[in-house]
Formats: sequence, structure tokens, C-alpha cells
Amino acid sequence: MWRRASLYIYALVAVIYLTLPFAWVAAVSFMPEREVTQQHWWPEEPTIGNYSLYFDVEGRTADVGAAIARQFPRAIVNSLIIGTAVMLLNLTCGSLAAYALSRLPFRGNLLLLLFYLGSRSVPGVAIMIPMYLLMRSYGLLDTHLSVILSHTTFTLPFTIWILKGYFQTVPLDLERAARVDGCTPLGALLRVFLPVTTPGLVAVGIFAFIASWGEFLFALLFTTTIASRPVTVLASDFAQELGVPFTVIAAGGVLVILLPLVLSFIFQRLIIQGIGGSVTG
Amino acid sequence: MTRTRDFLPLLLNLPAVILLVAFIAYPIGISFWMSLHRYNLRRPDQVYFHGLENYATILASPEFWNALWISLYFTFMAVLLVIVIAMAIALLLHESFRGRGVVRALLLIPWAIPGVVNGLMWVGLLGDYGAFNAMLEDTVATVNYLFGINIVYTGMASPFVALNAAIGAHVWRSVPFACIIFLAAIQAIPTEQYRAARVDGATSWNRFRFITLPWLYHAVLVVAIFETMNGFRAFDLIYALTGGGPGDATHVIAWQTYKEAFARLDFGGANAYSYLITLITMTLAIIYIRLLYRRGLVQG
Repeated sequence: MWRRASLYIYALVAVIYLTLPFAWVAAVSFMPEREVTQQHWWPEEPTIGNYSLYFDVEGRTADVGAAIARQFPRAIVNSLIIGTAVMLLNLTCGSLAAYALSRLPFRGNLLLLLFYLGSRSVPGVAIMIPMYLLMRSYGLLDTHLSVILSHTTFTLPFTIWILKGYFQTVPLDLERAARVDGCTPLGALLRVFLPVTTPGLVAVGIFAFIASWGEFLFALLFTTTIASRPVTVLASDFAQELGVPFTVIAAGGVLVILLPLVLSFIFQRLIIQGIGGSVTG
Repeated sequence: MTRTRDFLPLLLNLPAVILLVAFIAYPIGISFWMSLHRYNLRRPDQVYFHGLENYATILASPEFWNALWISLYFTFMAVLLVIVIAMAIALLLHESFRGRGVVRALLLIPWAIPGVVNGLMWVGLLGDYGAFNAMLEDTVATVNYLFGINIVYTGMASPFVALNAAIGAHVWRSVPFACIIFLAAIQAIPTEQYRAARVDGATSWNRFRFITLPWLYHAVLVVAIFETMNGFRAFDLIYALTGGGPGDATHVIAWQTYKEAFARLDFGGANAYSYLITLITMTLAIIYIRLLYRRGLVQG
């Protein structure tokens, strides 16, 4: 009995730790500014005024932070474009490479694996300047493509690593049967292998998308105007502009978080399996 | 014969290799080459080779040692706290109780939040009217009352509070990933061992100490290395939460590198900075890869 009770108290503490910071910010995003200064925990006069600032393109331009807020819908679209492209590039390049590594014995596969592992550990700051100059010399600054390429390169090693592990769990007999029936290796990959490994592919796709959505350094360096700026970079403007009420910032934060949060709830099981399997083998 | 057999797998790897060579390997090379040059964007006509001078300048500058020291403190505290908190939650999630699924779902909240937004959130939480600011104020007031001392709480204006708040925010966001790795490792422990230990009358602490911990050794090491690399890379959180301030209290090494490059436009010096970070994290990566090797997880 005591054991049960202490277990639930333990669980409660964990839940509070994990949710309280975000819960407070979410609550504040529905408060009028005055209630924050009164240090309320729950909005007594809930309002969606903080959110309407983000979607009310014409009016309320006088509000502090309105200039940033007005660009949000556009920035969310930018983030969606970039994240989706990063996801698709990861899935195509990643599954091809992982298939070869997990299935087809060839010379140099160990070298490749070490190359992938090594490139995963290169910190962003280490290559930011050459990347910046590279993008500048190709005229790619302030385009979606520059951000897509940089995000793909830093998510790809992780994708290959997880997919390789996942592919190895699929019984080899499946493809043997397909090969006996006259499939080419590529045919076996497309018709037999990919359908079976869909959960793994969904997991790494979501992973790549969320990683891209949240990435900041390269997005900050490469983008300058709303034509390409993703939502994280736009949100960081709030850190520079003085006097924006925190209620408005909180609403913006919630808007940025909403999509990754929903995705991670929907694909919870796959994500947990993916992370868990990524390093323990 | 072997050549045709090797051709297809290499072809399948080609797209990934091209991307990674073009946007990681090549920039790393360029970065090193540039670090050996005098290259300030303000004086693009004066680019010339001067060997290791950038490194010498950095190693002689107090800013570098300040940044390194702050990064070391930041990383050490972060790794320690992440391991302890993540382990505590992983052990909880391994128990069976009603609502476990809910806790496991909530675990992903901090993970899904982008670093920049996390920083902005904590600006609010620790700001003048923030929820945690009030708690900290009350705590300090209580401590002052109990011990008859007079600590003045100045919030994020205090270097000590700012740095440790940044660590706290960083840890909060890093816990889920580590926790999931721990949980996977705990679930791989054969249950017979626990049963046998219980038959032998081992206490729950001893079961944790002599069965769980040894089995988790590898996972803890992996998390430690991961989090060390993450700690040295911390940038987006600092950008949004403290902007390096107050003063230079939160000038972690990644922030210092960014400033060197895009505020001073000293690309040569900044590349030397980048290289020093790369050396530190690469050393850790090599240890990590060797570790996986020994476990037979990387196979030819």
C-alpha cells in the first residue's frame, strides 16, 4: 500500500517536472497582460487576443511585436516546406544507404559506416563559416534550398544509423523469396522490403522533420528575409526586440511548438522505439 | 566478379555520401585551411596565410579561457543532472502503474520543443513576473530568514543565476532523450536476474546497485558522451535566453565562436575557434565509436 502511494507521488513529481514549464507558458498565452503581472497560474479572464495578433494581418499594427507576429503564418509555411523536403531527402538517401549497409555485403562498408558515425558528431559551429561562404558563392543565401541542404546533412547520418538497425531486424527470407521469384535487388527493396519497414521509415521521417523544424543555427545564418526564414528564426527576434509583452511571446511559442508536439504524441511509440534502438543496438 | 557485386551497394550509398562530403567533410577541410589564414571580412583584400597564429592568439586571449571554463562548467553540470534525472524517470517508467502511458507520452513534451523556443519560455519563467522567479524569490527569502543572512536575489541580472538557469533549461530539454535510452536499456535486462536476487533476499537498493547499474553501464556512458557533445554545442538556448549575458557570464564556447565570426567578422580566428570545438567533440566521438566497436555493434 505504502509502496503504491509513494510510486504515485513519484510519478506526480515527474509529471510536474516535465510539464510545468510548458503548462505555465501555455496558460500565460491565454492571459491578458495584466494577469501575468498579478502572477496568476490560471487565466481568470481567458482571451485569444494574443493569438489573434498573429493572424490579424491588417489591424493592430501598433502593438509591440506586431511586426514580428504578422510574419508568423508565412514563416510557418517556410518551416513546413523545409521540414518536408528534409524528410523526403532523408527517406530516399537514407533508406538506399541503409539497405546496402544492412543487406548487401560489400567491400568498404565498414569505412562508410565509420564515415557516417563520424559526420554525425561534427558540431554545427565547426562548419558554419565554410557553409555560409559555400551558400553565398552559389547564390543560395536566403533560399529554402540552403536550409534544406544543411538540415539534411546533419540529420542523414542519424537516419541511416537507425534505419540500418531497423532493416536488420527484418527476416532475410522475405527478400530471398522475392529474389527467387525473379526480383532484382532494387525490386526486392521496393516491393517487399519497404512495405514491411514502413514503421521505421515513418519514425525516421518524423524525426528528421522535427529536427529540421527546431534547428536554429544554420537557419539563422542562411536566411535574411521572410521569403525563406523559418519559424524558429522569426521567433528568435522576440529575444532581440524590447518591450514585447510575454503574453504575446508565449502565444508565438505555443504556435511554434504545436506541430512537433502533435506529431510526437501521434507517433509516440515509434519515436520512443527509434531513440531507444538508436544507440543500444 | 567482386567488382560488379560491389557496384550496387556503393551506388546506393552515393547520394548520402555526396551530400555528406559536400556539406560536412569539405567544409571541415575548408574550415581548417581558413583557420590558418588571416581573414577578416572587413578587409577582404588582406587575406594571407599565417600558420598557427590564429590559434596562438586565441590561446593567449582571456575570452577563450573564459568561454572554455564556462562551457566546461555548463557541460559538466548538464551531463550530471541529465543522467540523474533521466535515470530517475526511466526507473519510474519501468514500474507498472496506472497512467504510465500518460507519463511516457508527456515525456516527449520537452523533447519536441525547439531550443530557441525553450530559451524564450525560460525568459518568461524567470522574468520579473515569471512563475519560477517568484518561487526562487520565496526560496531565497526563506533561506535568509532561517539562517539570518542577507542574500540579495537579483534574478537573471546575476551571473550565477543566469548561468545556472541556462543549465536548468538545457537539462530540462535534454532529459527525455536520455531517459528513453535508459528505459530501452532497462527493458533489455533479463528479468530472471531480479527474480533470482529476490529469492536470495536482496534489498531493492542492492538489486539496483548490483543488477540494474552494471547492465546500464553502457547506456550511461553513451548518454554521457552524447550530452557532453550537446553541452559544448549549446547555442540556440543561449541566444534566446541570455544572449551571452549578463556581461560574459554565459559566453559558452559556441556563442563565443558565433560572435567572433559574425560580430567581429574575423573568419580566420572564428575558424580556429571552431576547430578547437571540433577537436574536443571529435575526441569524444572517437571514444564513443570505439565503445560501440567493443560491444560489436559496428560490424563489417
